[in-house]
Amino acid sequence: MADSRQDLLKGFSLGLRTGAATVTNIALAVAFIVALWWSIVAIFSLPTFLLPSPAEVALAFFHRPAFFLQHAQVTAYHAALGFIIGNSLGVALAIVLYRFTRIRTLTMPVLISFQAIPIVALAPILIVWFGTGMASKVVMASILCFFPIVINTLQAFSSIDRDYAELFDFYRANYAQKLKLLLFPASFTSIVAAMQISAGLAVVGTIVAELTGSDRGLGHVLLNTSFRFEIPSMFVAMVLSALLGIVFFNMPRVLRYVIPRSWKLGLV
Amino acid sequence: MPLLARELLNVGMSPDALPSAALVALTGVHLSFGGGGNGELKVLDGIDLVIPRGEFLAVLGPSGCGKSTLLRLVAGLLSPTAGSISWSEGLIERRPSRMAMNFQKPVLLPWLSLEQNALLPFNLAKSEFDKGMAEAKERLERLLQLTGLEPFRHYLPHELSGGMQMRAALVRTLIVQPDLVLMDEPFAAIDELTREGLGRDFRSIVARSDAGTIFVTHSIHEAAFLADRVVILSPRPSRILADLAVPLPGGERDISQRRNDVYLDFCDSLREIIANG
Repeated sequence: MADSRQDLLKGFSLGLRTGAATVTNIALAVAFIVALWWSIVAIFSLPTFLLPSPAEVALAFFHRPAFFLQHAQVTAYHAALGFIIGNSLGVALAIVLYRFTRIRTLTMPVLISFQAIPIVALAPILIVWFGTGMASKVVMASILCFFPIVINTLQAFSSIDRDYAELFDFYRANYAQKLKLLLFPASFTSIVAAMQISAGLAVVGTIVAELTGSDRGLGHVLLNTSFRFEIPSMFVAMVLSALLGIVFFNMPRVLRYVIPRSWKLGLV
Repeated sequence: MPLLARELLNVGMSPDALPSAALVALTGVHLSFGGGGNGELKVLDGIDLVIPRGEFLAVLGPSGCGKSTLLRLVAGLLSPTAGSISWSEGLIERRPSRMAMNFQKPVLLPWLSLEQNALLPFNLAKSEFDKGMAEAKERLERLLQLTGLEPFRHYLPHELSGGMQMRAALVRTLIVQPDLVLMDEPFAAIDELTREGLGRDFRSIVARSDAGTIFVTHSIHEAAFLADRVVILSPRPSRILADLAVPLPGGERDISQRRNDVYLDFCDSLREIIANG
C-alpha cells in the first residue's frame, strides 16, 4: 500500500514538473510571438485596421473582459462536450471493430477515406439539421474528434506484439480482460497522443460551426467584429481561440498521471 | 517411462481410444500455411506422437522445422490441416488450469510487477482453478524461492535482467500446477551456465509432479540432458526422424552426468541423425 502511495506521489510531482516545464515553454513562445508582432507593427507603422498592436488588442480585451470570457466559455463548453462524445464513441467503435475482424476489414478503408474529406464542409448542413444552437456545435466537434481516435486506437491495438495476444488466448482470457490488462495499457500512449490531436480538433470544429451560424461563442464574436470592422476585438477572439486550442491540446496529458496508477486495480 | 512411450506408439491407437496414461496423442497430423495462389507452405507432414503423463519429451530439430508450430497445435492455438489431435479429458477445455505454456520470449506485461505477472493465469481464469488464490500464493512463494526471484517480487519487468525475466516467465508457467507443460525454446536467449542451472531446476520441479512436458529446443545437449525421450524432426516439411529414449536415469539429474560416456555417445547419435536428416 505504502508503495503505491509513493508511486502516486512520485507520478504526481513528475506531472507537476513536466507541467511546469510546458507552461514555461508556452510562456516563452508567447512572449516571442508578441515581441515579433509588436516590432512588425512598429517597424512598418501598420494601421490598426490591418494589424493592431498587442497593446491595442489588450486594451480591447480589458474594455469588456466579461463579454469575451463568456463567449470563450461557451466555445470551451461545446468543444469539451464534443470532445467527450466524439472520443467515447470513437473508442467504443474501436473496441467493437477490433473484436470483429470481418467488420473491421470492411470498415477500415471507409474510415480512413472519411479522414481525407474536409469534414468542416459539413458545417452548413449541420446548421440546417441541428439549428444555430448548441447541438450543431457539439455535433461538429464530435465528428472531427471521432475519426482520428477510432483509427489511432485500432492501429495501436493491432500493433501489439503477437506473443502477448497468444499468451492471453492461451489462458483463455475474455475480451474484457484482454482490453483491461493488455490492449488499453499497451496502447495508452498512442491513445493519449490521438486524444491530444482530437482535443485541438474539437476547438476547431466548434469555432467553424459557430462561424457558420450561431448567436454565441468565439466564432460568433469573430464574425460579428469582422462585420463591424472592430479589428482589435476580432484579434482578441482570435487570441482566445488560440489559447483555447493550446489548453485543449494539453488536457489529455493529465491522463498520463492518473490512469497508469489504476491498471493494477482488481489484480490480486 | 520411456518404455511406456514406446509401447504406446507401437499400439497404433485411434484418437478415440486415448489410453489413460496419455495426455495428448497426435495422429497423422499435417499442417500447411497459406494455401492460396502463391503456393502453400507445408510445415508438418504426418506427425504421429503420444505424450504420456509424467514424461519429459524433448523435440529437437533445425531452425524453422516447425517445432514451435507443433507446440501450438498441442496447445490448441492452431488446428491441423489434416489428421487429428486428442487430449486427455479436460486438458484442452480447462486449459488455463491444466496446461501451461512458456514462450520463446518472456512475454511479461510491462505494467505489472513480477508477482502480478506470475499470478496472471489465476487472474485471467479464476473460476478454472479448484484451489483458491491462497494456495496459488503459497506456490508462488515456493517458486520464487526456488528461482531466487524472491527479493525482486515487486520489481517491474524492465528492472530485471533477461535471465530473471525468463525465470519470472517460468514461475508464471509453473504456478498453475499443470498436467502438461509446453516449453518453446525457453532458455535460448540465456548464457550457457545460467541455462544449465535453469534447465536442471526446471527438470527437478516437473520430475516431482506427474506432469508431462514437451520441451522444444535446437540444442542437442539440452535435449539429451533434460528429457526422458527425444523426438527429432526433419527439416520442413517435418516428419519424425527418430524417437529415442534417453539412456539416463529418471528423476532429478546432476550436471556431472553430462560427462558420462553413455550421455556423450547418445548426443553423438542424435547429432548424426540430424546431420543425415
